[in-house]
Amino acid sequence: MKKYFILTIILMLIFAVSSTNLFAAGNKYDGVEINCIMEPHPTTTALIQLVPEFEEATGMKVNLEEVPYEHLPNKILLNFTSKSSDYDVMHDDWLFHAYGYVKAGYLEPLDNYIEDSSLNQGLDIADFPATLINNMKVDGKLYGLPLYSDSTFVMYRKDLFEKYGIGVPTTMSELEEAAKALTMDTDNDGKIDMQGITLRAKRGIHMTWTWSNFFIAFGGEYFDEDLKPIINNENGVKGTEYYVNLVQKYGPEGATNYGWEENRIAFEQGRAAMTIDASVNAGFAEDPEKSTIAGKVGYTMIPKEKVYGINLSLHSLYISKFSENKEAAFEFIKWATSKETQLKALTIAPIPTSTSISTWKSPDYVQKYSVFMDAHFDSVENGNLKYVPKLAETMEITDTISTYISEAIAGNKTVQQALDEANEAVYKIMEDAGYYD
Amino acid sequence: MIQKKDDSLTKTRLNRRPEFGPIWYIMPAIIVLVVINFYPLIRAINLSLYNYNLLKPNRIDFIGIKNFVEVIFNPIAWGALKTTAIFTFGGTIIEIIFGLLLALLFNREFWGKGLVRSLIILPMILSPVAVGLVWRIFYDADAGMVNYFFSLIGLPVRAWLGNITTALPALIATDVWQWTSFCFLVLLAALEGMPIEPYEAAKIDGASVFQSFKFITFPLIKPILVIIFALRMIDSIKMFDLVFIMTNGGPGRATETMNFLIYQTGFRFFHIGKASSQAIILTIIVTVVSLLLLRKFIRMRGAES
Repeated sequence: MKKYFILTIILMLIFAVSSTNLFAAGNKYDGVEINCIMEPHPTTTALIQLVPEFEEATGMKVNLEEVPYEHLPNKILLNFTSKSSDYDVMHDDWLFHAYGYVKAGYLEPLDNYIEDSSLNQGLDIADFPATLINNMKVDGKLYGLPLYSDSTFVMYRKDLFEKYGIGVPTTMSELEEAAKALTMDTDNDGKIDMQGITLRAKRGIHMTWTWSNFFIAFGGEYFDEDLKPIINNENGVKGTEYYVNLVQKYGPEGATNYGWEENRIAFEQGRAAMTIDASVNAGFAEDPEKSTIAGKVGYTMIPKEKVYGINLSLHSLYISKFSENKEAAFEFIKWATSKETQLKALTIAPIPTSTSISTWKSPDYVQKYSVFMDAHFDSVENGNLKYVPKLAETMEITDTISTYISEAIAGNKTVQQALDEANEAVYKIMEDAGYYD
Repeated sequence: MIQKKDDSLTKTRLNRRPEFGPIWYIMPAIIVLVVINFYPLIRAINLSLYNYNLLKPNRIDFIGIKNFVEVIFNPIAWGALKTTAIFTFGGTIIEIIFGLLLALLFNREFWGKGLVRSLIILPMILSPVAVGLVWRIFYDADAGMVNYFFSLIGLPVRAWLGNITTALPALIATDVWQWTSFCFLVLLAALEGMPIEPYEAAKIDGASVFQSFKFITFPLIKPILVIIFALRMIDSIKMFDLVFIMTNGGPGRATETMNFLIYQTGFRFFHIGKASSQAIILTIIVTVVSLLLLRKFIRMRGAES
């Protein structure tokens, strides 16, 4: 009898323990483990800290792996070409990489999950800027949820502008005039120590980001309707000449090797009166611990020439077609990009590049970023994702163009020559890729 | 009677039949080496015959030697080879000269010799990526050490990595900084192992320092010089980290070496087929050059004995 009594007690205990689990929220994903390959970025830092809450609520385990940006596409493609289910979620740049993944058939479309009422609790597509969502629709299907997005704007030294009586530039020619006026020798030792403007001009993706603002603003276009390259037409040349001029005449000598960091630091150390770069720089510039110019910086939109050339970057979360836990992966990306999470992330890391409209309006965001908020929102509204061609070969095309422009900046070629040669090279790339068959 | 061979002499080392037993013991190691070395090579040759682009998995066509033909007729590839040649020869020759001078200087006893020798080899043991990052900061036009010291002693100051003429020399300088110590170590060991008698005889005959170097030292270390030259050359041709970290191939194509071009083609543009063909061509060049050099070395050694 004692034997049966103990057995009953044990069975009751087991039942009690398992039934509490039954009432725990979302144990639907108990034992599920998803792997996410992420960019190193403040948003990832915030997610790593917040994810334990998500894990507790859903029961799934989430592994976030940061991979240096240079190696990210390699690792992701390796995963895809071997059709591996190792990674479920990818974090990457939409224009440069993820669009290519979609065209190659490697990403899972999200529409089914978005419309599934058992999965879409808490999802609010309207909270994301429409430009970003629409750009990620290919053949009518949405392939990603936006995680962060920079705009590009002009950052200028309010104190220097005031001191030398220069007005905030509202046209491209005013911008050039301001750069010219502020390239000066401030301590009268015969050497110019203040540059008018500092810009990235390092060959490759850095130059592409900066140059394309001007290229688009002056009306430049990559391709005509038949997909033949026209970067060397009149507008393209004008825009490129404007950029090359700024770098050569009013930019720091080392600008030809400036990537994102060097350019940001040059401005923060007070070596230039203006800079045009991603909005994320503003967060750094206003940090009194790192920057010598905190509180002295003004922000304004890049002036319109023929059109607004304001680059928006777009980094989103995607689901691998070969994932074995697609629903769990969707829950994760839905949570990571939700307005609640994006709001909380603000308290952990500097993220002016949030993609949640409600977060932008939150008191926390306003308090932290009010200085450049208006310039950022104006830029987002007038910005575009057209600054690089929307093709799988975009990396090759833009890298190649930047090499020729780099030669023009060094003075080896005229801008027209450089763009003519670049145009020919792009034509060959497109031909080899089979677009003209 | 003279024709008949002596039995005991026929059993010299040259004539003895090789035993096959030991081979089985090293067979596992051989198999691993063969697999690790040859399988990727065969796969690379296979890939180079297709127009494989990782972003276009549905468009993989067999195109035979078309990739190779394209590389041979591509002026950009030739430019990269030229840049690689300048970097390799320029760097290696400077490293050997400096290494030799340092070794001659150190080939004597003095207090602290061991300590100084250990310090000099520090650059060699650093990771190339760390070296690239630190030197990128050194070369910074405004805040870099190089410009700071140059301005103190009146030398011209400029944006070393951002200038299309000075970018490659700047990379060569960093390479020399890192690898001179390798040449120094090997040459010092060679010098320390030299017999003293010829020098004593030369001194008695009244030879100057320079003469004893030219007629005694130099001929004796020639084989070592050739081998260091070959080793540094093979290493330099493969250099990648410095370009990747410091200049990204720019400005323009000034620092675009062959290895960097291969990386860019294969891992930025995802043309795995094209990159494989470029890599194979580079491998052939490296193999041919090193065989030529090492044959000279072997012949030199043979001439001595």
